[in-house]
Amino acid sequence: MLPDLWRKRSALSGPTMNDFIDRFFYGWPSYDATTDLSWTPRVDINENEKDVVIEAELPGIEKKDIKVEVKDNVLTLSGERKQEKKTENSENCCIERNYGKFERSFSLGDMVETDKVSAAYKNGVLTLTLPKKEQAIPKEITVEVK
Amino acid sequence: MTYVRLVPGTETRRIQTTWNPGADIVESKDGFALTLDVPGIAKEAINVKVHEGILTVSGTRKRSEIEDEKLFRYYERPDGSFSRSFRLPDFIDSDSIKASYENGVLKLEVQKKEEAKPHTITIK
Repeated sequence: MLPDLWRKRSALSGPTMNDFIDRFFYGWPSYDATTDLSWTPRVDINENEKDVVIEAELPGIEKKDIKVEVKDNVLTLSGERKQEKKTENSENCCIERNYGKFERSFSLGDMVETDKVSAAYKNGVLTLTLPKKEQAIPKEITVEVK
Repeated sequence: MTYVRLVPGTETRRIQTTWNPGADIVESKDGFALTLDVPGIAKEAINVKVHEGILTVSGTRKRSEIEDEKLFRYYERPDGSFSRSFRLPDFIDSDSIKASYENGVLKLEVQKKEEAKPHTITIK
């Protein structure tokens, strides 16, 4: 069934099963009950020969509202997505996107050079490039056979 | 706080192959604003179509994966095609739809037909 653009979601009809599934996959729940985090951005992490690349989905967030911090070998990504203020003449029909504060941490182990982390933001995706430590890069040693 | 640990040689997948981007719909007196989160997709890879009063937004995201079992991989972002459809009410002017894409957010604005906009009637 298609959602009707103009039909408000009433408390009676409630969210559908699909909504639950979408929600579940949309933002990973935060396990930390001590903070007031409202959503968790989804991430992909890929290791290549030289770097570990973390890609985090942060759509519609200004660069200045994203904070990346490395402390005690833990990289923490945090920030806030602000909801546009409702004007007098507008009415929300359906709000599914996540708003509010977010935070995610990554334990880096001793794989990467923590002081050489670089970040880029494009099309709503933050890409963090973490160069691997020399000893973590596989080296090819040629042994000469005499 | 639970951390994602970088352990070489491990792979974690928490993804689905088809996905529905989250949407916000806000009505104003002139029309509707639809906002969808479609991060990491080039503008050219998003299709917006209106057919028989149904507005459909679709596209595909392809992840570049490295096939090496020694390396660390952790995937949560959905990979594959997405599609979302919305039935447009009769009082929408379907020629008026405007789309823009910025910072991973697709914004669609549809205007109501002139006669559907609130207006006051003067008493003669």
